[in-house]
Amino acid sequence: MPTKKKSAKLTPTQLSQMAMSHADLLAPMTPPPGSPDPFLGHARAVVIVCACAGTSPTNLGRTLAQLGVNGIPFQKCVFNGVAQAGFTIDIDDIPNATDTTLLQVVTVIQNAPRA
Amino acid sequence: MDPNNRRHIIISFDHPPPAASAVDQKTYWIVYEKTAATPKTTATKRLEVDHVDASGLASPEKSIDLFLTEEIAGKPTIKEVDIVLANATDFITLPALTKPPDLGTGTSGAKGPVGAAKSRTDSDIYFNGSYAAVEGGPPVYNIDAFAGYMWALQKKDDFYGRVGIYGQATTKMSSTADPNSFQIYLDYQNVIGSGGWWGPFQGPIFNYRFLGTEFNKTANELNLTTSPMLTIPFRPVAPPPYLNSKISQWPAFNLIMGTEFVDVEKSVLAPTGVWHARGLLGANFATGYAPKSKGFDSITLTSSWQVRLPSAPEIFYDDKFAPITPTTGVKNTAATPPMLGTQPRHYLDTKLTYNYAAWGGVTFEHTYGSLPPAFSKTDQTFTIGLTFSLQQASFGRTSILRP
Repeated sequence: MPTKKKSAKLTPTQLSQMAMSHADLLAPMTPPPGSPDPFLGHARAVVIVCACAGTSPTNLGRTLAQLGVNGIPFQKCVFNGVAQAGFTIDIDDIPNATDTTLLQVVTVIQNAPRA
Repeated sequence: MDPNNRRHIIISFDHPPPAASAVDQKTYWIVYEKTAATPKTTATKRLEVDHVDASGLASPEKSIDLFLTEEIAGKPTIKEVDIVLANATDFITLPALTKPPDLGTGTSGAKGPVGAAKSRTDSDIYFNGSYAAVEGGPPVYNIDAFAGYMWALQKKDDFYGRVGIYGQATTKMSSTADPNSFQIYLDYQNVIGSGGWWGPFQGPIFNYRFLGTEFNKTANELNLTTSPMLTIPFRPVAPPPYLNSKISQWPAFNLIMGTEFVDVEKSVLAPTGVWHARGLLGANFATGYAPKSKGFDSITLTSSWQVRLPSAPEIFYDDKFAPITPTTGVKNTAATPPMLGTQPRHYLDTKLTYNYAAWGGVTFEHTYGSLPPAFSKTDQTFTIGLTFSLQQASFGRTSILRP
C-alpha cells in the first residue's frame, strides 16, 4: 500500500519570499480618488495596527508589552500607514506606551481625517 | 464609534467572545447619549437600536456592530455615550465613551502630561531606591532615577523625529571610592525606515545625543559627550493568536550599538582637553507574567548589559587595589586609588520585580560593573528595595535608556 508522501517543510528563505511586504500590504488601502470616507475608519485602522504590531486581530485586546512590541517604531509605522492610506494624524496622538492595547490605537486612528 | 457612519457602533470582545445569542438582539442594547444643551446643562437622550450584526463574532476580531435608528450627535455638543447590555442573564454597563477618539470626534486622547506607569520600561519619570545591610560594614543605598521629555518634529504628514532632554542618575552609596554616575543630554531620535517589521526585527531607532555631560557626585570627573546610537528591537518569537492575557511582557530584546565621543574636561588622573571615542555595545531584555490577583499583580524580569570600549586610557576605580588598614587588616575601599586603562568597561543590571499592585512593588536587583565617568567598579551586588513610578502620557521616552 503506497504511503502518503510527506510534504517538505518550507525553509526560512522560502517563507520570507512568500511573505507580503509591509508596503504591499498597505498599498490597496490607499483610497481611490473621490472615495466618500472622510475618516480612516475601523477596518483600515485594524489592518494598519495589526501589521505594525506583527500580530493578528485576535490580539487586538492585548498591550504592546504583552505582544513584545517596541512602541517607538510601532508609532512611526502606524503614522506612515495612516498617511499612506491618504489620511492625516498628529504622531503624538498615536498612543504607544507599553500598556496601550492595540484596540486603543485603532480607536484613535480610525478618526484620522482625510489629508 | 464609526466616524464615517455615526449610526454605527463597533463593540469588540476579548477572547473568549460571548455566544451570538447573548448579544444579537436589538432589545438587549440600551444606548444613551449626553449632549451639551447649554454651556451649563446636559441633555440625555435614549437612542434606539435598529439592528445588530453579530457576524463579526466569527471573525478574528470578535466584534459586533450596533446600528442605531439615528445618528449620534457630533462635535461640539456630544459629551458622553453610555451603553448597557441587558439580556436574559446579564446586565453589563460598558465603560462610558467620553474621550474624542471614543466619540468619533477626534484623535486627541486628552490625557494629562503624565500618568501612572506600570514598570520602569514605560516610565519617563522614574525613581527606584533600595537598601542593603552589610555585615561588618556600612549599609549600601542605591538610587536609580531618570527624567526627561521628547517633543515631536512634525509638519503635516512629514515626521522629522523627536528632540528632548534627559537626565539619569545612578548613585551607589557603597564603600567603593566614588561610584556615582550622572548623565544629562540633549537627544535627537528618529526611526530609520517605515517602522515596520523585518522578520523578527522592528525598524531600528537612531538616537543622537548631540550634547551631553557625564559627572560624578563630587564633580571631580566631568566629561562632555556627543554620541550616535542605534537601537534594534528584536522579538525572537512572535506571540500566538489569542495570547493569554496573563502574559504581561512577551520576551523581547533591544540590541544597542553606538559610539560615545568624549572630551574629558576634568579628572583627578586622566588627561584633559582631548577627545577620544568609546565603542558601546549592549542589549536589554524584558519579560513578565501578571495574574493581577489580589496581592500579586505581576512579576517582571528585566536585564540590561552594556560594554564600553575606550580608545584611550580612561580613569577607573577597582577596590581590589584598595589599601589595607594596618590596625584592622580590612580593606579601606573609600581610599581606592584611581587608575588608568583601556580595558572594556562592562555594566550588568538585572532586576526581578514583584508588584503587589500596578503602581508599586518590591525589587530584587543584581548589579555588576561600572558606569562613566568615574567607572567605579561595583562587584557582584544584590539588593532589595521598593519601586514607585510615573510615566509621560505622550510616550516620547528615548529608546536608549535601560528597561
